[in-house]
Amino acid sequence: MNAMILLLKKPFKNSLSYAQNYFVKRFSQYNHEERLFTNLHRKERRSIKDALDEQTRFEITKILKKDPIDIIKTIEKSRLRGKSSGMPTFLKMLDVRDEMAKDSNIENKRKTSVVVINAAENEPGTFKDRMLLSYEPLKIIEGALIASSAVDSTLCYIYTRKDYYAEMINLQKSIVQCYGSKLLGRNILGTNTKLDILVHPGAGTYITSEESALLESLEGRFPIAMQLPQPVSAKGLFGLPTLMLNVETAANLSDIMKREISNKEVENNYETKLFCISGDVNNPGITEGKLSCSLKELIETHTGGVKDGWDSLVGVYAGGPASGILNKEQCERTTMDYQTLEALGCNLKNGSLIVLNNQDHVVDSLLNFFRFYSKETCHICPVCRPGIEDVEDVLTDLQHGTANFGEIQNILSRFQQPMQEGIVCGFADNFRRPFLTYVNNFQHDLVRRTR
Amino acid sequence: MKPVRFFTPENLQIVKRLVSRYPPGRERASLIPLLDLAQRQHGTWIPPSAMHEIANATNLSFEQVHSLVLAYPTSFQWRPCAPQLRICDSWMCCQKAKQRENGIYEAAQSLVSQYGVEVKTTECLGACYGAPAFWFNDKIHTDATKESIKQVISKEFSK
Repeated sequence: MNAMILLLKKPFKNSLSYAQNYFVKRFSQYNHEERLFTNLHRKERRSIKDALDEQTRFEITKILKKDPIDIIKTIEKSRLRGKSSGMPTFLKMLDVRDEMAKDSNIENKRKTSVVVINAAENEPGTFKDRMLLSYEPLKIIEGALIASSAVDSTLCYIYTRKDYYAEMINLQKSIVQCYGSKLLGRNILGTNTKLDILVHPGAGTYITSEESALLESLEGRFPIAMQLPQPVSAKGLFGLPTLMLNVETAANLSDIMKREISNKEVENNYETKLFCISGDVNNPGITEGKLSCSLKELIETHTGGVKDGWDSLVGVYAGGPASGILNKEQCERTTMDYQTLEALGCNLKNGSLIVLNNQDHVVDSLLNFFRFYSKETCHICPVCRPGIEDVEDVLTDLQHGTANFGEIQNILSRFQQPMQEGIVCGFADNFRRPFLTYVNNFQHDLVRRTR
Repeated sequence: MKPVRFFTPENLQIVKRLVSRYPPGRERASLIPLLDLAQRQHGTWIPPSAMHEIANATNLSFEQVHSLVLAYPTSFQWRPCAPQLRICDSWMCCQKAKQRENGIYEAAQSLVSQYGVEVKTTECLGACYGAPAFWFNDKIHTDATKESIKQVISKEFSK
């Protein structure tokens, strides 16, 4: 309810249409010519000088000459959403603009704002950021241009992971080429705008992919998730209003604006998303699919199907190990969408599927992921500190087949307590969900392994 | 304090450029790239003379720089150590390694001790498509078998 009250205070009251049920099933054939990331599909590396022909330059100058509020209106029409929390992107931009316009009359000057792009992925099972950094650097730079012109900023930081050293060098080389061909710096392509992009190599722990921990790590302090008194859009990096975007949302921005310029339709146009499929399939890899396609179609057409046929499927992690496991009967009915997955108890966070083939693999994979999570928590909140080690003990007992039903009931009753105060980051939800969905969806397996 | 010389003259210019990237008064943000540069110049760990010079360049104290090195135990080392070979430890890579041949971790340890290289396990490296993945000398390799690990290490050492 609090979220709805805050939304009504915003000046754009007509934009409540996103809150309605926008689930539209598309029964059209999947058209291979409509792909967004063509270089990623063919696994080609093109230099920036070849990719920047006359038409792209003309389109970029046309986009940069627009009013920033027009840009935000087209992004609102296309219904683009963020990755970690599912928040619409145009709301973030409006928050930053509100903060910048607050003290403008008093001091006769405006605050400057900063754009930060989050290219640090540490989640097991996702590798889409690595592919985007190595094959499509031009789309990331165009996305940074559009985001900074919508927010009126002149500085942009890209935070990458330390292990992706070769990909970071590739990005830096393409940025230097852009400076040479007048796409960055002062007087971009004849217009009056200015932008500088700086690549910041971060040092990796798992928690730096979260919002507040990333800003702490960028400023040079201990990387830990903090409870901020003001949201990031009001007071973020260096005390300035910041706009934080994922790499994939930034890479989607340029295509949306180009379609609007060439007068194609933009409604419901945020359709494609990158899915990373791994596990027990024949050809694991990365594909691009529409948001309303079915799970069975994704696994069977693009990756050569499950090993030993579709009938030997046991379960699928829909959205990475932080979301829940689905049954075989549920897998035949689901479509990859925000609303259907929330109705089943899961969450579409990153869009990475992990396929399981055998009944023993379910508890093995759960134990592996929980051990990984227990190493990476900060052990401060009341949820994470006592919670994860108990779940690990129960899972090892389940693996050997000697579990006690009373302990499982103990943990479940602790999970169903209302949300306590003092919880800092969204990590607490991440490890509740797989265990809850395992207990709900795999009851035969649970009964078989307890005494 | 006596002036301490650690960086080579070419690296000193890079240090000045790195410190000037961030707004004045916030030089603390440039610590991580500087520590990375120091570790690459010296080899595999960061000596205390480098930390003194970094503290002079960014107007901080030695203890503040040293405490940041302790916050990232997987990336920065402050004690002398051997070069590291890191093998991914998540469920997808472990499962594929079991199907091909057992015990890639122990086999790698025996192979690699003749070169003086240490073996460690890490989190997911972002190479789940080519399943057992390992990291050596800033490159991520996929499809690890005993022969491929041997090839990669002997190639890097013969340079």
